Amino acid sequence: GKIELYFNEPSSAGLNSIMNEFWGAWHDVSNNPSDQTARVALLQQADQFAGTVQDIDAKMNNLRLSLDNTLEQKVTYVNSLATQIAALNGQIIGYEADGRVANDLRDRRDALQSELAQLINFSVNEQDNGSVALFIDGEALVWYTQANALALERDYSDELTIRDIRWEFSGKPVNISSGEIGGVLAARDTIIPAYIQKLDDLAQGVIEAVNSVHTGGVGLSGFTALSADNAVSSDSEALDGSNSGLAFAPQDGSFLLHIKNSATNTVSDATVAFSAGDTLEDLRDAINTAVTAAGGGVTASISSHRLNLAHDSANYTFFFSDDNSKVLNSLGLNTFFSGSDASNIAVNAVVKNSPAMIAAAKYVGGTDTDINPGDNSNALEIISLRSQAALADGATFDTFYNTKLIGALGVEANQATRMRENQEIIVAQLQTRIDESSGVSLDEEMSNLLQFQQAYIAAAKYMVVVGQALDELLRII
Amino acid sequence: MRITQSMLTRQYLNDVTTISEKLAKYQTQIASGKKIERPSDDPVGIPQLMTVNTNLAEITQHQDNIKQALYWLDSTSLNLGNAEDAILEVSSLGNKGLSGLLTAEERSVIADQVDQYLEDVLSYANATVGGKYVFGGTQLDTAPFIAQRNAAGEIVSVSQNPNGIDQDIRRNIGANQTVVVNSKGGTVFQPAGAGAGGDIFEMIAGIRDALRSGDLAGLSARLTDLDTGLDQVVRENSNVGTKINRLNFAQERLNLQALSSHEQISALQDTDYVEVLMKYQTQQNIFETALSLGSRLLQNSLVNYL
Repeated sequence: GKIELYFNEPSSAGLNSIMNEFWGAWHDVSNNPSDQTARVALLQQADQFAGTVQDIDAKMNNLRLSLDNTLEQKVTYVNSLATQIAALNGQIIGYEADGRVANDLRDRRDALQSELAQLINFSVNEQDNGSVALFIDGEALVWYTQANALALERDYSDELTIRDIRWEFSGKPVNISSGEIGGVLAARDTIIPAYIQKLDDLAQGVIEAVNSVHTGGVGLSGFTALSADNAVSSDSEALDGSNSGLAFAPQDGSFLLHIKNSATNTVSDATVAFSAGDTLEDLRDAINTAVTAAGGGVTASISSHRLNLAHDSANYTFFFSDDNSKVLNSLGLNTFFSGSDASNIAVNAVVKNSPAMIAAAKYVGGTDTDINPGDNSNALEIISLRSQAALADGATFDTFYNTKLIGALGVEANQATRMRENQEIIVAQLQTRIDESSGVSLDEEMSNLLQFQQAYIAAAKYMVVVGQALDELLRII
Repeated sequence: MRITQSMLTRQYLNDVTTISEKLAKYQTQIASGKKIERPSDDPVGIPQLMTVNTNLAEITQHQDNIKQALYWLDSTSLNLGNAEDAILEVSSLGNKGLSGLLTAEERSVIADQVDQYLEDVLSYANATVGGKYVFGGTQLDTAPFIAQRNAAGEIVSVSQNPNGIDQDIRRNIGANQTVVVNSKGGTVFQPAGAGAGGDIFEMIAGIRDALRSGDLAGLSARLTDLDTGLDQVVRENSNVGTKINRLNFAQERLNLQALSSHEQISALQDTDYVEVLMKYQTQQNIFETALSLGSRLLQNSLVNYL
């Protein structure tokens, strides 16, 4: 229900429409690569896409947090009910010790048990002395007059979220499988995280695919200075290792760094290779070596764990192409999206601040010493990403979102509604059976009342007759 | 089976609630015109609906792309046609100049006219549409052909601006279908490069110079060359014409597809007003009947009759 509202499909504000507009904006740029308006529009659409994904992600996480609050309330209530039932147990044992039946007290205890049954699953065992023992999965919740409390185990490192529900006296976890508490736990731990994961998969897929193509392209002009978007954890840590602090890992390969000297109107090409195990410092050195060998013009440096490239003088600009090592992608150089999953996907600030840097074109080399403003080959390649199987099971972005996310959401929600309806029917039928035995039928009671009233009147008349007869007898004596 | 008061009341409430729920659902369907409000309304239909929506958006985008491509192709065709006409004029002028009856003075006049046509052809080759050079390949902002002139301001030769002039401009007109929409200036006007065989500018300049100098044999040879040049332009123009036809055809096809997509969306999503209104009416009748019966039955019991 709530998750459906967050995704807001089918509507023009849903991700489906927003993705349509995002790809449409790429088409517009490919039709008019030198047009500033098309580029600005693309940035707006991309922003909306990233913003909506982040928004849905945030809402789902908030829902999880609010479920924690609900959990706390319900567990407190369970404890209070258990205590009350235990107290009643004591009273019933005392009352029935004389052989009487404590009907009122038993009724109250039954009502409390009904309420408890809504919240949590337990089994009931009536003892010989009239008390009732409640067990949750073998552990006693109520035993004679003692109620064992449930405690919440909190994880103080993660916004005070509740990790688990445990028995207070033993510390063992409570095995809750149904009831409202069971439902809240299932939603919080299984259902919502599954959708958050799917949204993450979608966001990651889009980020990686678009960035991979974007880094190999060039905007309307080369860069004069560029800082990497992603920082590493340490300059001497292997970039493809698990400690690098990078969300996407590079691989063996190389990329081309082109340096254009506008004074001589020439472009020199520097091939920078990346091997497994290279650190950020290794990469910086490799770039500088390759650039010097190609004639200089650009210097690589590292500051605050980020790679920086800067031109040596105003004549030089630089750009990239042919990156099969994914180094540019993982460091965040010339990328379109920044971030790594649904919670932090955003448009790269470099591109946002200067739309001319959107890499719609590719550098073709050869006789072209200039970047051609009419070239839209990179934009066309990005557009073709849409029909590629970029996600699990060979799904395209649209198929993944439509079928695996929204389709699955629809099926689950539908199923939940049906099951609830079925359960309600069953409960209603059981309630009818209860009422059958225990309910009061006005007609029945009224006819009984008439019967007894007649008997009473008859008895009364009989008494009058007997009284008259006795009177007669006493008069004669 | 015993029937108790509470059973009757409970059953009554359940039934009235169910009917109210249905009424609310139908009401929403009527007011919004949509059968599907959220994914759980139709879990099988929702992915289909979203896919069709996406397809429709893509079709619309491709239609737009084709429109832009056609715009570019039309401009190309126009300028190629103009160039053709100019070349034909030069050809006929040159043939006139071949006649031995003309004086040097008259030939000079013809040469001037030829020079004018040369300037025209150069301007067609450097034509722009919307500020972008038609024959410049991907280098849209710089003129593809640069003229080298002599002291009198007449064109001696024409060289190409090499950046981007040989590149294709592609437009995406279908899933993974791109079409090249430009004609490469180099291929049309100077297929073997500046100054080599097939350089139309050189041919026309040569004709002008031959007319001025009275070199009739050279003029005749040049006129034959010019025919080859004309062929180049005509061939390219017919290429462009074919592309235009192909794109028009694709446009038609896309129109049909768009129509069918709209129909699909309507079938999946729109409320069938007749059906829903009837159901709504039925439910409303049931509702009123249930309410009135319920109120009458529930109040009655033996108590009223004593």
